[in-house]
Amino acid sequence: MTGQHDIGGLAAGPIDTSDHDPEPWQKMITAVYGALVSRGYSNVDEMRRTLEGLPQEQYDQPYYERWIEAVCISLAEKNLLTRAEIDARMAEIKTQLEAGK
Amino acid sequence: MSDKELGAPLYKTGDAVRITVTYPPGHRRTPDYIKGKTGIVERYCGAFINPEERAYGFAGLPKKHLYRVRFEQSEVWHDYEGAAKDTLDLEFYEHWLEGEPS
Repeated sequence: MTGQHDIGGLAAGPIDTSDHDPEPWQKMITAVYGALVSRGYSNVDEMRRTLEGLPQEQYDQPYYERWIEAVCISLAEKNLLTRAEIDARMAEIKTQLEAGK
Repeated sequence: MSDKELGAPLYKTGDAVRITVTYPPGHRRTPDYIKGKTGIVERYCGAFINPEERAYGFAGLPKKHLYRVRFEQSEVWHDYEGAAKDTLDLEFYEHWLEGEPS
């Protein structure tokens, strides 16, 4: 069995080469990952392993959505934050945003 | 940090090597399309922390010998239509290589 990322030489459809500016949240997830690496909580091999091991429906998401999933896995593996804590905080922020509208 | 368990590199520039055909579980960087192909060691790159271990939060020691291997494109892709002299370089840790050292 080969991993879902291991598609060298296979037909994979057209590549979108259009340019686009990163969204602020995309810059933020890059910074969060960089902070984890600089503090020794992750590394490029671990990031690739978590990305490539994502369930199909998560792996098929766009680039930075995948990064978020991979960073959440690293956080849980290092016992820094659990998925439940992340989900609870996200729900809290969503409530605040909706109340502010 | 110690790499005292690391022996001398098995291969040197010019040795013919075949990429082993295995599908072990875990974090593996050797792409499927190159497995079973034969190339020539272009250079010995040095010894590096093993990414297959490091990917799971382990130290990845002892380090592993890394080689750059050169393949003829026509060996890699059977329907290759480019120039016969075209080559492809890929890097492999020693445990992915088969062949008698010279």
